[in-house]
Amino acid sequence: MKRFFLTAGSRLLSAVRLAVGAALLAPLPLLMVWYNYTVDCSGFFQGDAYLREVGNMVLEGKDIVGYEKMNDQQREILKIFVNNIDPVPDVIALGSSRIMQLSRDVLHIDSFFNCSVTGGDRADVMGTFYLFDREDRLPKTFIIGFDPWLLRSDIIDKRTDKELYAEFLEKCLGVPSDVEYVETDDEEKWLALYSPEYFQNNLSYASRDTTGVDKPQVVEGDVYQQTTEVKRGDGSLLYDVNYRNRSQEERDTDALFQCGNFLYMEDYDEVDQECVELFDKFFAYAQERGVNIVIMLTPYPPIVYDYCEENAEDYGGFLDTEPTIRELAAKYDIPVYGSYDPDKIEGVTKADFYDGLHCTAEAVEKIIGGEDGENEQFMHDLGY
Amino acid sequence: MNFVSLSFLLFLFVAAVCYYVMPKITRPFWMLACSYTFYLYDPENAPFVALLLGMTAATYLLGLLIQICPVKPVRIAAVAAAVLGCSGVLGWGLYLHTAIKPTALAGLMVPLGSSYFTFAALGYIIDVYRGKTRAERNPLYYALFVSFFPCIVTGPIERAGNLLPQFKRKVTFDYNRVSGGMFRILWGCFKKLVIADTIGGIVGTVFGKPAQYSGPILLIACLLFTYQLYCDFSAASDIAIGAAAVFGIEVMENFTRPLAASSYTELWRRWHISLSSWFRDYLYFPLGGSRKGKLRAHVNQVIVFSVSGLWHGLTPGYLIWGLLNGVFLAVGKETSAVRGRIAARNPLYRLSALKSVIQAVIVYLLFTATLVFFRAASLSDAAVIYGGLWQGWDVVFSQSSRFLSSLSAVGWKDAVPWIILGGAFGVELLEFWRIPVNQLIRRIPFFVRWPLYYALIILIGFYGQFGSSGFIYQQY
Repeated sequence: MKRFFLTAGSRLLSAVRLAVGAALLAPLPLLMVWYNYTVDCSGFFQGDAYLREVGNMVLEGKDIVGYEKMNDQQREILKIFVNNIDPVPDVIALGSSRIMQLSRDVLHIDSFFNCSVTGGDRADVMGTFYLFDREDRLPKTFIIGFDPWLLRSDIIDKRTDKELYAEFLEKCLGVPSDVEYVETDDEEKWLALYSPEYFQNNLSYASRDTTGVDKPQVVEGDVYQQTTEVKRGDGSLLYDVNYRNRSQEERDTDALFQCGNFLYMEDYDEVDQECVELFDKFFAYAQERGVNIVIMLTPYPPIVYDYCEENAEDYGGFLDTEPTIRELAAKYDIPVYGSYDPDKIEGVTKADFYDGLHCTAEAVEKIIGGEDGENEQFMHDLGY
Repeated sequence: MNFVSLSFLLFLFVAAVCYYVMPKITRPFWMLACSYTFYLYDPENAPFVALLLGMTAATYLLGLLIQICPVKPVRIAAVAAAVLGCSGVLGWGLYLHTAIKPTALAGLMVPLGSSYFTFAALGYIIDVYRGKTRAERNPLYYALFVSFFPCIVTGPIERAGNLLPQFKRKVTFDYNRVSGGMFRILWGCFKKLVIADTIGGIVGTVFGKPAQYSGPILLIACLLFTYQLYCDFSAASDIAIGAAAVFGIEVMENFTRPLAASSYTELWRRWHISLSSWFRDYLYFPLGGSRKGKLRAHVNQVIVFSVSGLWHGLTPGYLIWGLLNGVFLAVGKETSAVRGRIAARNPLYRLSALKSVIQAVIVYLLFTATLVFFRAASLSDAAVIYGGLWQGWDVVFSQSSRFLSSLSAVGWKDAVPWIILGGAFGVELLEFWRIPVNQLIRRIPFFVRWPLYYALIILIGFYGQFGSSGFIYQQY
């Protein structure tokens, strides 16, 4: 009996010592895991650290300058927005720079974020939708800035995440894609979490000297007086003060340049039915997922649109896009605001354009009808 | 599975917990399962598991045959078959290692642990033949002896007489033994990741293009390689011994402060003990050892070291390394008496500590001289190193900033190598005074010991060279 108690006592003591030892050692690996997750220099968990820094500035509602240097990384930052924006805004805008003037101020809605990207194409529109969908973070409403090249099959921006688009097409729309996509490798990601090598990389990253590094900065002073573009805290874009205040003559010169060099619209005779069918499926899928879609057609300067009408035989694809998309929208009861034709929007003149492609925030306000958000129908369409 | 990885620590933890929870009778078989899991963890080892199994089965049966069969020619034939088979496996591994090493296929084709399991199996067969060990009747115990996972990568090369009885012994959980084993693993990880691999970066750069460097840099790289090899190899042994201790198995020591040796003979009594003693027992003694006169003993020594050199790879560099070691040993023994007489009149040797230091430095330099052939990519590179050692020394004194920038260019940047080498030198000095630091740390009070554990882990976390390479001896 005595021997039994001695053995049991000795084993109990060993177990206690082992437990104390384990408890004393546990903080070190936990600290490493926490550090790897928090610093995350390769962006396994929270996106690229540098881009995350920039993205988080915007998500914190800060206006930043120098964002134009990151034009090629906008899609990556977008992923950071999607993963980190909390709560998910009620309304999200998708599209290209032609819809970047859509802002909280213009919409008179606080719960809004503009996810449009420079050169945004149909793969960006659908890919961004998919980012929200994949994370089960869909908003109430998407406003799609529907550019005419969205129905042109050969226009895909080189910066677009084609794999993401292909994944969406195959997984959600059931459309085969030429682009192969690779499923996200979660194993590598989770291995990094407890990797000492990754810990060292994070240490180096966190202790790096960033003095003199040319990176986006939070706006200091009056946001409307900045001499470089400002990425607003709601994702919209504010052109620099000089660009916004250019003379009409300069703006017209830009518009005239588009005549005969019309971005993405040259040699585009007719709408691609393949793209129409794709959007047909996309709208059906979005409604199936319970999301409102609102289409916005931002106008082109009168000089540009008139030139296209005068040369209708060369710009058939462009001119057919609006009726085609209106027809498709009608099928799904999707409201369409605005028009490529500036004459069809009340009060829009050539003064409502910064250049040959982009209309002003005032023009967008005219599209949605009223400067004080008094368009009840529009608010209703947004889900309010 | 890489010894210095969190996967290994996790594997060890799970294996140990299950081991102590299981009924004692099942534990060796659990260890066998763990050993094969360890072996098969890297998919590229999968093709070689058949080789391991085949060699295990063949030597197990041959062992039984030698034990049971009274007919001597049959027993000799069985030993010969085992020797041929094992030599064939070793030779095949050597051929692949030497001939295909430069290609990307090398890592896929050289069987992991082939040296360990062939040496272990061959030693067992010879011991059974000599009657030093009884043939193991239980094939699972024998399979565990051949594939014992703490030793299979880099040894120590164990003997059946030491391991097999331990597998059958009842092991109870002993906190001090387990935590001592874990500390030995931590110590090994520190030596490998922080010291050996940091030094290895500098050594690799210089030995990669030796013609580009001046004498001082070449000398530093050569001296550092000796220390890198020691830290790297002894770290693997530390981890193996520590891992085995966790399971209550005592594995032989492979290094006992070899760099503090005061003679070349002593160096080889302390360096890679398991292989040296294996060659002594199974090659040197059968060749006649020292029983057939001095000259024959020296020739035997040179033969053993040449074979040992060629075991590392079928290249002239390894052969020269082996020959030089054999010759140095022979010369050392022959001149021992003369050197003793000279030493008695050497005023520097009146202080015993100074004498030990001077002798250790001389042995270190001699050993380093041989290792140049071991490390250099080719004989011509070794010649370049020896030729270059004498050039460019004026820069050290006249243009010290240029010398320091050369050091920086080969990877000796910031204070890290200084701190690491300073710390290592401190540990060596303590060990020189016969204070075994890793054992000392285990004995000091809890409130000092644990901060030291933390410091070691943090140093590994901050300065360990993760993912840089495997152990040097893993390839042999």
